[in-house]
Amino acid sequence: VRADPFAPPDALSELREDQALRRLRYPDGHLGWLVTNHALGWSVLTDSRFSTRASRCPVSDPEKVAALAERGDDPVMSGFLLTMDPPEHTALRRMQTGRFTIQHVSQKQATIERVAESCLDAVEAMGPPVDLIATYAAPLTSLVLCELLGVPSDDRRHFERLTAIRSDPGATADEDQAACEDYRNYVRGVIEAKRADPGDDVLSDIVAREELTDDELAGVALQLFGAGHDTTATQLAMSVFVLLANRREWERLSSDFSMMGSAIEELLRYLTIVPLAPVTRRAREDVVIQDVLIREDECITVSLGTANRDPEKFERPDELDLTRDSSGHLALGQGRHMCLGQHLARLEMAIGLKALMMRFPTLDLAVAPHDVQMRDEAAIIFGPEVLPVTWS
Amino acid sequence: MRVVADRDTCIASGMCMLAAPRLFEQDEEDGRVILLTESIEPSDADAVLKAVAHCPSGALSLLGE
Repeated sequence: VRADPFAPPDALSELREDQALRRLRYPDGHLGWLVTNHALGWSVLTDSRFSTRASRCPVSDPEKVAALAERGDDPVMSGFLLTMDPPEHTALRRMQTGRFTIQHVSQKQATIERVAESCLDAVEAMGPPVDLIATYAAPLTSLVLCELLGVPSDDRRHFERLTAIRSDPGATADEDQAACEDYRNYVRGVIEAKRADPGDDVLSDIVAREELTDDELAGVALQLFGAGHDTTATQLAMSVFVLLANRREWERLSSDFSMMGSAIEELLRYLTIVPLAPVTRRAREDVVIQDVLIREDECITVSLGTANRDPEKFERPDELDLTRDSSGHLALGQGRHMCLGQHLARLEMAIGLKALMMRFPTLDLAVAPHDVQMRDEAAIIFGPEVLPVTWS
Repeated sequence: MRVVADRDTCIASGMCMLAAPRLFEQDEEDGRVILLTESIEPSDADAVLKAVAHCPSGALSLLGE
């Protein structure tokens, strides 16, 4: 349990001060490495001698992993960018990047604003108190994703169900398996629909190229749905949470939206919602970093949260300062796997925060900050389970 | 000071355009870097240094005078 829900666990921060590169025993017994500072984290993530085909997670429940392995459920899915290396990764990513450029994403501004306002209409009609995640952060990002991928808005239940199970470390291997199966059937249906009736979206683009197998197309769809909703929803909810817990910052941003650009980067840096689990690489050859030999096939995990609070990189790192220059943070990753949808996430954050502040200037937490129930540390994305808010 | 971009290495993150929108654009087709100018005015030097330093693929480099 974290003493401060916005800061990385103290034990990890202490490692950074003590020895930022050290051995880490993974749950399956593998002896690898853990990086906790910014400079080494950056260099590992941008070094092509490290592969993402690690198939290993520093905090997963080994019994669950074993149960999934017995069923032959390979965690390396075809078409899934995060488990691919060049040249296949490069080719597949380039099929999608045109839809995620700053220019292309900015054309979606009106769509996102419309979705945000309609969610807020529903919140207002409901009246206080509400859970801001279930009523705003989650529907906003899910419905924007449905619009951008050209699927009916009802479809959000399919991808939200798998994410909920994946975010619940108490879920059994059977539940995980069943949710995966449902999800795979769903995305196969989506791909068939795009083949029959192409739309103006990234999935239709890739289907129309006729270069990928159906399994690869399913992987692409899985990644787009999976990476595109809970991440931004959680970042938005955590941002509202930290701003309300530091009321002056809420007032400061509400009174001057020109600082939104730097505020979003600082909220990304300060909150860093990706915990240890997904940021593991494997050495493809012997690599020496800082006079330490990382042997071929050894895994190395980067702690993004402590890297983003590294005093060597950021002055007064534990202070939330919405006007500072936070560029160079690792909250969206680094290197060739850096978040594909990062500019979409930024735009959703900017629109989502501004619309909320304008509609409910008196918004406040409905419980004390320390009573906000947080997800388990082993969740893929760290954030509140629910965010009870009220207004007058 | 001149900046050069290696489009084979570029992963189309758009970080350069975010840091220095006067100098970089993203290709409409696949998002890869487009240099709007090669020679850098002194007023843009800081933004360019940031763009080069934050490029996730190492596709950008600076050449001196």
